[in-house]
Amino acid sequence: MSSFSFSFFIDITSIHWFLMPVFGQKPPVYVMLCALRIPLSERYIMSKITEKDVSYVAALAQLQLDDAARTRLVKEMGDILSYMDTLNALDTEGVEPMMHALEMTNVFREDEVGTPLSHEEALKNAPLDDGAYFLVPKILDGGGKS
Amino acid sequence: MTKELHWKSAREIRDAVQSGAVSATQIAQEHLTRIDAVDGRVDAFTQLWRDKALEMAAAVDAKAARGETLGALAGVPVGLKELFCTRHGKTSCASKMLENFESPYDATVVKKLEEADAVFLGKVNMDEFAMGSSTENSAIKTTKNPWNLKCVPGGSSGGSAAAVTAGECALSLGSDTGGSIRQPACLCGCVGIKPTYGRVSRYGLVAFASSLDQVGPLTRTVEDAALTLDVICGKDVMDATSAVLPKTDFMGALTGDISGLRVGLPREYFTDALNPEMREKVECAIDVYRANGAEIVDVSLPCSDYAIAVYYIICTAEASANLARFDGVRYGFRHPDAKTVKDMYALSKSDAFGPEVQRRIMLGTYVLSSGYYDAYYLKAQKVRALIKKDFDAAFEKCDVIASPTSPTASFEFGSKSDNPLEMYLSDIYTISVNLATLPGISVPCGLTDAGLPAGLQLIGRPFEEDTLLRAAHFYEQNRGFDMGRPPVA
Repeated sequence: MSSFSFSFFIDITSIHWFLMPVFGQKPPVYVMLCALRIPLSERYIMSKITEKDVSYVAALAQLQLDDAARTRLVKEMGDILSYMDTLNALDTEGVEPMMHALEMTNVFREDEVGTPLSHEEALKNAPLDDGAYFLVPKILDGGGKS
Repeated sequence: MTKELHWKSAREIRDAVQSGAVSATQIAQEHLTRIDAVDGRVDAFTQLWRDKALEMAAAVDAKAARGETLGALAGVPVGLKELFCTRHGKTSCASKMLENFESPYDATVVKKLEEADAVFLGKVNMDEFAMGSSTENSAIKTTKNPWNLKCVPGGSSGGSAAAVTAGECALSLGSDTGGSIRQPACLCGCVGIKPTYGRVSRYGLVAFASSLDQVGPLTRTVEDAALTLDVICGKDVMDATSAVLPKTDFMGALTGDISGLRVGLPREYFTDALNPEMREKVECAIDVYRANGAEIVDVSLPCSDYAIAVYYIICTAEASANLARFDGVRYGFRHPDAKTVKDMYALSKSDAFGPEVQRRIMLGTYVLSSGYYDAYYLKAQKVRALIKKDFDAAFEKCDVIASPTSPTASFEFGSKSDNPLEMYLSDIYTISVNLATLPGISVPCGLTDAGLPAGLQLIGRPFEEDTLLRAAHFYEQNRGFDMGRPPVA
């Protein structure tokens, strides 16, 4: 409760007066957000996406972000995604999406045996291999013995 | 005026080598000496293949000595963008991820150049994985603009444009996903053509955005662009998206005759957003067509304002899918601290991809993620269809469309690198061409007061590179001035 009163205090003393010349009176959204007790940081920095979103997407993309990168991406992705929202101004009702760059039907060829890469060539760039296979760290926990 | 060998065009070099007036070895040596003299300042080359170049040149000379017919690019010295797979040397994509990658095969375009008796001098710099408009995103080095070493060469094929402009090679092969050949060609003052999607095989080109990527040449003359395109284009069984088309004769298309040509000016491209100096240069270029009997017509591309948003949804979506392959298993960087498979993926990618690549993977993953796919990716594909439709309608009224290549001339290092969105906006005139799969060319059209090149972009109908090259060649031959040589020369 104390943190709420603190943020409320900041609201009326700084942000609200700051916004007064713009809105002339309390903006309705501001009143609503105050009523919902949404923390100050999220009330006024209405980014397209939050740190939580960025962390979720990073997990999907298998990227590990440090705090600085996460903060930077919240802003940058927010800006870029807001820019992308300009597309909403365009009515695309009934438009067929362009799924392919070229109009093509199936491409057929004879099923002939070719020359694949040799084992040696295919493994040449592998970070770790045993001459026959690519080696990776253990995937499944096989009953505690390693 | 006698020209030093390193200022000769690819066609002049080819003719001289074919006629025996000069040997391929002499040409290669001259260019290696030239690179030694200027590349310390320009920093275009990431790998110099001294021995390989002399070996290839010797092979061409031996072929000539045996009385065999030499290829269409006999002895022509070439710099290859870091993302073309070559059995020789590394294919790093200017990324820590692939810094030690040695391709087990050659890209189809690389093979075709070699079969045409070209000589490879090495590889040239680029933005990491071709993502960028200034080559500042390279993990290897900072390439400078030969016209002003404080300014960027453009990107992503910045090394290609800088090397060609500085006389380090007559020809460089680049790739263009949203302007990556044309914009650096414009900023450095050389010629760059992005062919129609499907014209040139993408096999062995490290993929960025597969529905937009195309391979093309950067050269000092339009004729050299035509010559190279004749060599590298054609159906390839290794690329299902390469189109089956009749044999081309782009060199033969350069007739100098533009009678009946209709040049379209999209009214959406000539707005206040365009830098006044660039506008003046491009309007002067259009006057050359007007004065020589071409018909100048007003056309409209109503969806132009949406192109950048569409592009950065589609290209990041495709990039996030394409770059998922860099998992540290079969090739590329694997983080030494990874103890589990999950860590191997996360640590390797996070450590080896630069900030712009990670930003695009993140954006692409976001727009494809559950709940956002329809709002972003599907919407973008629909608007892409509308953009293509705009061009179809415009091409009923004209044969080529003229525009600036870039809204501004080159800019200083660091001036846009902190603001990705501003950097993205510098692709405004080139991006639609990739979205609509059309061919586009940038031809130098003068210098600004600050001494930086401006570029005229011409856009053609799908697979009508002949009309495009004829129009570009006509302008180049009749513009009434020579671009001269950059101060670094």
